[in-house]
Amino acid sequence: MYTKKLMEKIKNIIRGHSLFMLHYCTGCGAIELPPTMTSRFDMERLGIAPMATPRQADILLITGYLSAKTLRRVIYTYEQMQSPKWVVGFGSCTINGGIYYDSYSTINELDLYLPVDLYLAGCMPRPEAIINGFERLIEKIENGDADGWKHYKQNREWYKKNQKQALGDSLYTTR
Amino acid sequence: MTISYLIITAGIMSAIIYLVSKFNWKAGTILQTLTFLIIGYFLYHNGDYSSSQLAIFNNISLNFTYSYFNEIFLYLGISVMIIVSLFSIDGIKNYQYKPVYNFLTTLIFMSILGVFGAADFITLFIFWELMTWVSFFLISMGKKYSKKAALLFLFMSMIAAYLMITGIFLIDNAVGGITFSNLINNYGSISYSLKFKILMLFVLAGLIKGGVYPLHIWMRTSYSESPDSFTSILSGILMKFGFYLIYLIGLFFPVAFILKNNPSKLISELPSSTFFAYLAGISIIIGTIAAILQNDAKKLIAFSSVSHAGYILLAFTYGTSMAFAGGVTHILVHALTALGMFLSIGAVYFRTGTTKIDELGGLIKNMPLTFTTYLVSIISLAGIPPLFGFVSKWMIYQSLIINGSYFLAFAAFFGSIGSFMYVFRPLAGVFLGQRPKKFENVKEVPFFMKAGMLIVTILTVLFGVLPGLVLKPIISMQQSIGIEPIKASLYRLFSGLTTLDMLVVFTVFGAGFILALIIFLLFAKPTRVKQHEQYTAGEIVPELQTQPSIYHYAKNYYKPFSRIFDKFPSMEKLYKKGAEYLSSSFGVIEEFFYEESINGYIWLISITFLVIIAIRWF
Amino acid sequence: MILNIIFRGLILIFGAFLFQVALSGFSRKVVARIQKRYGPVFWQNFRDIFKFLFKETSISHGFIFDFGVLMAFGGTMATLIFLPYGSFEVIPGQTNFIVVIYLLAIGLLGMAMSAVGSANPNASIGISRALTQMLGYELPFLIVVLVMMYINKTSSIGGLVQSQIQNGWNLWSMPIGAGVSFVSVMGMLGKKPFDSPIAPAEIASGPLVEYSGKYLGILMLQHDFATVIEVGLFVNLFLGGGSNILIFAIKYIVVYILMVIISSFLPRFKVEESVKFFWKWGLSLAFLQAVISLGIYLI
Repeated sequence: MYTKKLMEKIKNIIRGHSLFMLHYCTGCGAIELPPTMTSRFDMERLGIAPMATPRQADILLITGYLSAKTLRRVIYTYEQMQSPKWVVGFGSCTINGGIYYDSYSTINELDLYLPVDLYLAGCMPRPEAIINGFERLIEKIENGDADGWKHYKQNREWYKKNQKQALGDSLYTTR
Repeated sequence: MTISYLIITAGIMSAIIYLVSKFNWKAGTILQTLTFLIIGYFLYHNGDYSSSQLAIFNNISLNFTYSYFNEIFLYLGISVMIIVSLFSIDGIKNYQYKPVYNFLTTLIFMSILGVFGAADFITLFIFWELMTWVSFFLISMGKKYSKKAALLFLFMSMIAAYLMITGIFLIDNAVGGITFSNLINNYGSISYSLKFKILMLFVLAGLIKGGVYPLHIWMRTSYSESPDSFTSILSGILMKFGFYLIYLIGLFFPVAFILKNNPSKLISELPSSTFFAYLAGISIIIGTIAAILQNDAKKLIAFSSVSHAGYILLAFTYGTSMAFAGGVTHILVHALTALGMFLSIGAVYFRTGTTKIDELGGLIKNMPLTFTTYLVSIISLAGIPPLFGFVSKWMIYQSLIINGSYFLAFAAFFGSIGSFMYVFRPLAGVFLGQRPKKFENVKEVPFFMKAGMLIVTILTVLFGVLPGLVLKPIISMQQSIGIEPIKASLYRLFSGLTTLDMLVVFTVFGAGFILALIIFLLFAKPTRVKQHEQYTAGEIVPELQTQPSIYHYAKNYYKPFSRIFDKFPSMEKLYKKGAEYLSSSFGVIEEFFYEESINGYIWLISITFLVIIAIRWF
Repeated sequence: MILNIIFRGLILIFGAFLFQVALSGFSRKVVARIQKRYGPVFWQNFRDIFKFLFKETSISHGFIFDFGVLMAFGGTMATLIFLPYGSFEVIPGQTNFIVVIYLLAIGLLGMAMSAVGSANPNASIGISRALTQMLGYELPFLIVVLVMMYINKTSSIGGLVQSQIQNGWNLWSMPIGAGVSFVSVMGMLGKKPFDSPIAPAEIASGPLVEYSGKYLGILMLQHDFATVIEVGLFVNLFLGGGSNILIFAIKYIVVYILMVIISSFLPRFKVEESVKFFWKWGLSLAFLQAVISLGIYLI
């Protein structure tokens, strides 16, 4: 039992320091990422690197507001990722819809459809805020607190119900 | 039982098999397989080497021999025929004229025994012609354009035959007899220029049959249009007749006698052999590039045969003992791998009715054994250890390295690396990738087809791990014809440069695989997903479930590569252009030539007689 | 005897794993410094590999998807055995160059099979590019090595190392060939500018597109082992191997870091451009080297 716990702790530490990120750039937030990744702020020193496909990624970074059209793809992409996996909501839009909150097709609360592990508030959050947020995420993963993917698995019906409500029949799931 | 009796038996059995097939084609094919097996057993059981004669008239007879120098070819021919016949028990189900097919393939078997067992040139020629005619009918039994393909085949074969018969007359004229032994005894009395002429005639005939560039033009259509099980015979054995002829004439003319005195040197007596070595190099390169650009799996293998014909010719004309043994081994390798590839593609055609690569896909789930056969064959063809193909390639490379001929080595390397590209194409397009909806219910082929393919697979692996099984008869062949034999034991090969131990290679590879498996099993178990669950850049492709072929990358697979060769001319088009030019300028003759009668043939005969007379004149 | 060989083989594989994974991590640091970044710690690649191996789920696209990965990984580990490392040889006398080159191909074939077995068109495109590019980079390298083997009258890598101990490095006797081979090895490794098969922004990392979890971890290991073989070949053939494993490692590090530095400031070739590049410059220079070397040798 103790060794299992220790093993889990080691795994979590390793996971926390190697985060491959798939950024789903739906809004204007993506513009903050290049300085975060390159020389000025250098995200790679924390072990965070961009990846091309959801199969290889650990973090799904959703930058900016989601519409009904993009949410469908985000859900599809999230379900293609392999657990443990984390969702980071980037910018105010993912929290409450941001400045587009009253648009007819904007998804205001991401948390209803996907288990968000960390929000980066701001419109837009500066690279410092992003780095700060990721450090927080690493801390959470190391402690084993970032378990949104488990939550999604356990409360699958609830999430599916919400997703259906927003998207109707066009929802496509992998399983 | 000497060979002459076996040949008579095969001839008689062909009639019996035809009659039995009339009543029940399956019984007929089983009888055919049994006949081949029994004949092979008698040849093996006989054990001692012997010569025999088959009298036709009082003083004319066909001479046969069973000796070190042709033993391995005889067994190759018999085993290929047994495997194909086994495959045919289920495989010819869809053919229109099954009894005729069985009858003709038995005659092919007879001609194989005759050609490889011949002890004089006329016997060789008679059975060679038998093979040509029978193949003509067999090819024309195939697909839509097979009649045209058969005509082209016949035309090229006829040219080869005329070249050969001219050569035989020249030999007869020079030494007063056409038996092999007579030629060996009187070799010294032939003048240099005559030697050169004879050699050229025979080698050209062999090149046409062997499909070496630029005389390969019959192969593409004949291979793709002929019935599938016959294509295996065509590429497994009949194409090798050409190289047997080159090998045979090489025994009498340059190779054996030069090597006896000077084993490590290039053939210097005849400048032509260097020419042929370079021709072989060009053949390898052109065949490889052409194969990469094909879309039909059978055409692709046909062009790969052009490339591998180049390897064999290269080995034979190169002239070192190692290269010579490599050439003979490569004949076996190519026979076995081409057999495996054509049988598996034939099996795919049997079930799906197409050999176009971009129409197929994902068949591994339905036909795992066919896939395995294809995979093992291509690994062997590409010369990847630890399978059989590596042995012959290693031997050819060693002799190229010893002599530092870097252009030829470049060609050999090009063919070898290029072969990864073209053999992978059907693997990716036919067996892997997305499976179209219409092939969801395709079944694996019936039992006997599986059995035939399984034997090929097992032999390829076995000879790869223990190449000594094949090299031993080759060594005794080399000893008997007076070449310094290569050094090899059951699983070791020695060249002047280094040692190859196939057993160690195999064991280490196996150990690596097991270690990989252990590491793989240590970690969490994966989940299986359906084929349409793909990364699609977030896009949801609703058609993916109903129409998977839209997500299958098989068309223009090597588009970037083919862009490099867009401006290159094709030899076939060049010939066609030449023919068009001729037909436009000699319209009258064309009418005469292309009339749908035997006239064209007669015209060819008269031309040949003129050529013969001209040669006799000078 | 056999136990000894197995033991040494395992030591070699484990050592190569530690060495190359650490070196790849270090090379990330080098690239970061070139780009004026701080860069990750040098054991970052261990974290990445183990993170993937420890993933709780991963997906498989069927038997050939798994089998190909095993074939690639097993074949590459097997190839490691046939290379001399300084004075260290796992099976003495078994260092046949042609075996190494062709066994390495089994890794590529397994990988190609597995990737195409995933039925993703991006993977197929990547594989078609990789195979096309292979026809480019292998040829000049093989021509140069052929001339070297002809002059030294041996085709075993150990023999070539021995002859260099007597005659000096091949880098000095065949400088053009060494340059050509250096570029060829960069092509083998898929370093920029020859990384069109795995172009992440274009075809979503090509062959690797469908690999997740432990599959990806294993393939990262496989890539590292293949790197050991390819760079090791260059060190053995041109830099005289090493009298012991430490000197070998130092030469290896120099060559590898040099490649990383060169590739870090180059853009990407289109695949036919890279094939043309190798045929035009690589082949002509290789043939030039062949003519010069054979000329000197025959005189």
